[in-house]
Amino acid sequence: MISILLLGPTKWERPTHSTVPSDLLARARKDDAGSRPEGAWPIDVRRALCAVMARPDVVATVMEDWPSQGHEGPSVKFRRIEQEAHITHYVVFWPLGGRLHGLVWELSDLAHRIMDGKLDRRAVQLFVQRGVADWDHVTEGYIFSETENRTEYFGDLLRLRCPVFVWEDYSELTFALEHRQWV
Amino acid sequence: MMKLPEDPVEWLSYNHPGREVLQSVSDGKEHAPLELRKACGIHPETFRRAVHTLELYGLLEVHATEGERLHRVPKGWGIQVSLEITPQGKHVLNVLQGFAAVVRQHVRSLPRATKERWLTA
Repeated sequence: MISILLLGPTKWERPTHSTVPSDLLARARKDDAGSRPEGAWPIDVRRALCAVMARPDVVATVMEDWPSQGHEGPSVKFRRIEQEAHITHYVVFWPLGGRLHGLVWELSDLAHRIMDGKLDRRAVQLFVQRGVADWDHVTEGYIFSETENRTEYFGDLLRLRCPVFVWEDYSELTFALEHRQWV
Repeated sequence: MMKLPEDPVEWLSYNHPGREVLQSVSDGKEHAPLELRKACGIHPETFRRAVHTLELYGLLEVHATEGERLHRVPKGWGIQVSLEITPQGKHVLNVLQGFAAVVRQHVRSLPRATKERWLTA
């Protein structure tokens, strides 16, 4: 059984929610999007993407759907969710207008585990929206322009050769997640 | 997004640049995009689209080149990348090579269009 933890921003750093199609949001298990006057948040999109990834042998979840227990901090909660949900893979979702600063500890933990040989680099996949990163025909590489919204540890995950996919729009992202074979 | 068939084998059956790129990384090693594009003899934009669609299907992965770090560039931070076939890409390529082998066995009796589709990459 493949169990995926979908990490990413909870709220927008700046509003870009108009680009999220309503048919995608309709797939979210908890349709909070409809109750937000300002439109869907990244957490709503991530919940919808969990539904997109779900197959008979694949489940996906977000940290926000696991209530904190007692006074546990984010790091303890992260480890508890990993154990209770039997997490095998991690997807980092980075849309335009979202920032990764709330994931400093989680991304650093994943990077350290890859460095220590405890986690395969392919178990952490980075899905970045075009505009956050763009293909550069001159250097034949990626240029990340949303530098203020990244963390140093996202750079570490890149350096550790985690697969990175730069998506153009949500239909592409949905297609890619539906066709991904998690190994 | 351009409308794509659900089945990557169907897309690869008529997309020769995609097939060419996938075959060129079939050794399982990491390939520099520029060298691979030159080896395939494909236009830069056609190459970029082929790589992107292969990624969409999960047949090819893009990751940082070994030993590369983010470095400052005028527009932000840059990183050199490499292309590598995925396990799913290897399986799909095996299926395509199996089709091509069958077509070769019946090359005299098959329509020209069938031969062109499967024996040209």
